[in-house]
Amino acid sequence: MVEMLEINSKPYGKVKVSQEQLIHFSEGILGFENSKDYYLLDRNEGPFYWLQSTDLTDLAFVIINPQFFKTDYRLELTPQDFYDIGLLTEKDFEENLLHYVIVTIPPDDPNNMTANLLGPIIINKSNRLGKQALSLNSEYSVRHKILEELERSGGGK
Amino acid sequence: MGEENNYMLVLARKPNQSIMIGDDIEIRVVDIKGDQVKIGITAPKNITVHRKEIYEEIQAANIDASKTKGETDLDKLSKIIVKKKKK
Repeated sequence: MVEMLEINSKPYGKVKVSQEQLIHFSEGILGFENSKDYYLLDRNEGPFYWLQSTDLTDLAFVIINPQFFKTDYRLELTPQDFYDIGLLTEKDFEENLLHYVIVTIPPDDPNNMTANLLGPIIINKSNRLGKQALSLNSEYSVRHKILEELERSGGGK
Repeated sequence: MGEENNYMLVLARKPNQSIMIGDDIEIRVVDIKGDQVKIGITAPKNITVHRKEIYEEIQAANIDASKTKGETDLDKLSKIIVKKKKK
């Protein structure tokens, strides 16, 4: 049986999590280098999730898989980024790589939400190591408008 | 990025002169034109090199993102984007 733990979270108040949801970012998130551990909260059905800091209740990020709104999004990173989270082989990539981008949702205008395509979050789900990497594609913006992208591409279906 | 702990070493270099950082990172002034300097960097594969502005942009975006309200209705936003996706 998976052991559950109760934590305080920014979006849901008290919430139960398991150790399987705990992701370690050895370099933290840029601007928040001191917080290295986050729970991936999947209470919402998706495509949005919360990344909740374990040590600061007030620190949490909304994340989304970028392919959900931009199907041609590519992770253009250096091999070292993947080594850093223990992804070494092609098999590792296929089986264990998760990737997200951080979303900013303005409180007074949620429809104007933006995603940071330049600094994707990569996670190795087998060892639960994560990293905010820097994309080598400088065309990617840190404030890419999600709804405008969908209008343009129709989600690329 | 650790600026508060580190001193800045300032060196004068001419085009084609280099500095070494440790044993294996070489920074060379390739060319100078007006107010722009072209810099060549030779470093081992495990060293990543990015323009500082990129760190600063991502940092600023992360700080904004951290201000997203905990009460944000993600299920509602999900519905909006799922609907747009189907259109």
